Amino acid sequence: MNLPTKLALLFLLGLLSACGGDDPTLAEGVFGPLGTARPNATEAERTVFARGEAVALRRFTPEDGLGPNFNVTFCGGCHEKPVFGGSAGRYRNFLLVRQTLSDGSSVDLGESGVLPQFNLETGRRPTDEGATDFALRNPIPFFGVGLLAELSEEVILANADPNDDDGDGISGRPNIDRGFIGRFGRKAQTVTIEGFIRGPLANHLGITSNPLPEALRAQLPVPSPVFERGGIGGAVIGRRFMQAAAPDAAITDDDGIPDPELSDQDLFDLVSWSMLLAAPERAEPTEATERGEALFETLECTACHVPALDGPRGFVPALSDLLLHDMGPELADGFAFGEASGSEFRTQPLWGVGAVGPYLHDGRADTLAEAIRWHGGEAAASRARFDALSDAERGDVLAFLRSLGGEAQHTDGLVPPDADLEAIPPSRALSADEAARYLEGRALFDQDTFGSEGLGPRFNGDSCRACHFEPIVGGAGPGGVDVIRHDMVDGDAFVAPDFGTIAHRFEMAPVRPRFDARANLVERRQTPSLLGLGLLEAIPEAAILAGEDPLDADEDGIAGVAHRLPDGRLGRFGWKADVPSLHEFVRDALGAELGVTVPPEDGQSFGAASDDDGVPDPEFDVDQIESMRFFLATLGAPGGAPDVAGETLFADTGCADCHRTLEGPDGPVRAFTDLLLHDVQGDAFVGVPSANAGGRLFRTAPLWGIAGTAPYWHDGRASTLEDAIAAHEGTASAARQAFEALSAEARERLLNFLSAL
Amino acid sequence: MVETMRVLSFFCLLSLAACGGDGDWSPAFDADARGWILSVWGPDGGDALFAVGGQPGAGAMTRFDGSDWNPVDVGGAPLLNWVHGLNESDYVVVGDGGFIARGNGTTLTPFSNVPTAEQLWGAWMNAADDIWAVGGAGVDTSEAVVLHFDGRAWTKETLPALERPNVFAFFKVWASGPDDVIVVGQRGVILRYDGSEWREFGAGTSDDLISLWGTGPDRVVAVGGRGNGVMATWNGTEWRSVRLSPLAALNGVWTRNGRDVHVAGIQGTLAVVDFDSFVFRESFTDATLDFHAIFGRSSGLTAVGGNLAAGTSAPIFNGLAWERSLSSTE
Repeated sequence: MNLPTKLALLFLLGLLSACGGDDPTLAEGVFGPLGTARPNATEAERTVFARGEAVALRRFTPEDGLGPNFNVTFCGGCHEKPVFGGSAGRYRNFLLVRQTLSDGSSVDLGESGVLPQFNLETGRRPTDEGATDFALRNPIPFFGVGLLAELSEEVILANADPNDDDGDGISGRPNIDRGFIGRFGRKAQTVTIEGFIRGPLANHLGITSNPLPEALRAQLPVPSPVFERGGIGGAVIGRRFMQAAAPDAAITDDDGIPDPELSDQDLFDLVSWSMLLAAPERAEPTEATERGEALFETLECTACHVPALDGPRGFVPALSDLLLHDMGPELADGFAFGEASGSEFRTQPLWGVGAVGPYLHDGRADTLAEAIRWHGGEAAASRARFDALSDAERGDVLAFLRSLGGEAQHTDGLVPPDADLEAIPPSRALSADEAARYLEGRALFDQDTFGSEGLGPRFNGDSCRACHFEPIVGGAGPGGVDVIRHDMVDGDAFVAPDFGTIAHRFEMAPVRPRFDARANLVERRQTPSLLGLGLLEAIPEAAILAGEDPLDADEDGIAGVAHRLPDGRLGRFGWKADVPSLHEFVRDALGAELGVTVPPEDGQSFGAASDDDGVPDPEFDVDQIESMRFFLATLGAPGGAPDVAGETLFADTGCADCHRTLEGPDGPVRAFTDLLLHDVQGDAFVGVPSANAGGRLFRTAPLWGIAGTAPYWHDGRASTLEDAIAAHEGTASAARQAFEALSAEARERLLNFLSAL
Repeated sequence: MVETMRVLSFFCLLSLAACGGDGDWSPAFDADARGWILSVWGPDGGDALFAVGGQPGAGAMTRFDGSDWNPVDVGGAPLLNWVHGLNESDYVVVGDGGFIARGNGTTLTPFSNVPTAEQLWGAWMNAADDIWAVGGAGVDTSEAVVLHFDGRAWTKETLPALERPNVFAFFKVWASGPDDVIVVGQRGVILRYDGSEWREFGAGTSDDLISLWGTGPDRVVAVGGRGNGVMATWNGTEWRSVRLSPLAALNGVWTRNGRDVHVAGIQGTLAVVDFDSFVFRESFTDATLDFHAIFGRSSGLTAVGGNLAAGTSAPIFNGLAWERSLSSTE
């Protein structure tokens, strides 16, 4: 950076420090708790903020235009932590994909360079042929972006020193797009918030949008700044950002839903919500944070993480110069974006950094200290100085960083840090010891698992909660966290890949995990709800087996069979009822979904005993497993006031022949499942088998709490309950036809009954 | 990419005012209500200029007769994307849906049996019986096509398998003669026809190359980019390319002397770029819409475009037409 600017900022740093953050030159009315509207928002803006948040949380369905390829079904899925608007754990990472050609150029593959995980028709979007380069990205937080959008280009350019003329080893140059300085994205590749939203809508959700009309754009809470003609250093005519930078694909796709799939008004609300998100509010300084702040300057971290930039409302302490810096081979991903080379990254704003890990562009760093130690290139000297500090001094630096907003909202998962027992209610009153066990299990279930703790090498989620959070932690999961299974089928024969049928979504490295190229069968598996599983586990085997009628001996058209596992145990959990107990369920999920190894236990056969991630096995111990089991076994079951008339219709149509109430030790368990396997698929369906459950057989899905767990069916094919009923075939055909024969009023009554479960 | 140019560009970025500008551009006519104007061309030595465009589903053509710009009846033609010809009574226009028509100065006669329904973006007339047209919608359900008219019929060229992936559109075609035809398009694709076969080239860029022009077989320049301006040059031996940021994305290019390359692009971008050094000087006007094409002849330069960024569902399709004089040395 150039010297005058540096001196000015050092002065400001001192000023801010001396005044404890109350300096009047700071922007006012814009700082607040993460996820809230900035305090100076007008009532009208708060209304727009609420509407925009609703758009961010809307679960898009194929009928809305989701797909054909997608990573996630709602914006908030990747911007959830610690509250909506933030970032997410590694389970929301995504891959960039390119092909480098003989002339040295690299062509974006995937969807405008993003490689989505899912395809509505084929289950898994394949990796493009010819792909040579991959890079990982972790979602980026939005807190305070409206203030960054307001900054003038001159203010950003003031810190640029592309040729390091001042010889301090720090250069810094802007990225540029359409003649304007980029300021959003890991490589500052995007100029406007509108563009930063429209691109991911298309790339990650398959939701198309048009650029905002000028009339709406003019009403945004942060109007597009007027720049001199030429944008950078020009001097003739004022002009605004004229385009919302976004991939061309943002405008149209080929999913059969008319484009644009997001209305101009919804886009306006979404962009406005982002712009109105409060900037992280710095905590009151302590002696430790003040020492850390001074050290932060001494280490010359402030050469890039400048204390503040001068915005139209006052100084904006994002701790970023918004410029590109060469971070060396330590962080290089090889992906050029605009002017940014493969080793250059935008200085990441640090406000709120204590609340939004993991860190760095690909989420490789579990902790702030680790993130600092990954710094290379221009930042190598600062990193070395950090390493040379004493433990106490490093602690002060980290305390300072954590004080930059949002620390009080930090959570190791998604459960708020101050959440009590009832935040995720248990099924019964618990003793003090049980409550402690429940909370311990909940924390293990909810918290992100780090690589150093054994995550990976391949995984679908970095926690159990990563997939089980609809409508509350422990619940089901939306389409964006589906498990992908694959298999080779030849007539009636199935051959599983050597490594199992799961095709994981992630590795710790920037590669797409293994997928058996011979597979001709791919199946998405929705995340089922775990609420009330303790009650299902308690149901005596005899009660389940009493419903068996594998050969339809009673000639009612329904053949149900219990899933006897190869070792003779009765399966009752999972889409295929292929897991016999909650303890095994925990062991299985840790291995299959998180890549976490577990110790051998007598009588237990599920779970992975070892892996090759470099972390000593087992990575979880029996006590941890037992805490998680206890949490699941005690997790409250959904319940609602019974609608007798609706339930009568449910029985009369034959739905209750499979979706039945079983007797548990403490009374009837109104989960509406017989825990048996049935063939309810269409004639053409071929599915991936599991243990002794053939590909066409699925366990009767429990219906309690079903209103909050869309989409439906094992592969998410149904967006609504009515769609789900309409999809019933095979032994459920008669029940479906009976439903279809009902009057409209009766159908609605039955659907209301289901919704109220 | 030529790395050194990034430094030059950045220098320009920091001192753009010093790079100067021409500043004598002015509106050619009130094009606001003419729909998009996507291409302009006219024979040198005459008064006539033809501009084509319109809006999706409804093409439009405007003719300049030396003093006024007047609408020309195009019948039921779709959106017209490009015009090029031999003289003011023999030119070709191409447009959406595989539309190709021959013009005689007053009327357009559509060709039948055009072997594609793709959008056609570019055309070039070498001779009355040697005409090229290129297109493709640019999405994976479309096909990048090169068409040729031999005086009797249009045929689709058989092209080699491309190294460059996901090329679903060719945008423009230019030729110095029947044995030197160059096509540019999506993701930086470049094809050259030497009279017997097509060959793929790379210029070191994967940005879309949207238009090209040349002064001979060893002096060809292509421009493009969607965000930042990109230029690629051919010296008869090799292609090279450079990103011209902070110059924004470029859609149109024309050069007469092969040294001063006149370019036009989004957000009112107009500039002159040196063919060899890539140093550019931008002209500053109060045009804020997107220029799509630029064309010159001895009497001056004309750049045309419209509110292209609004997308095809825009309720209003505005046009843009600016002009300036051209010195004898440019």
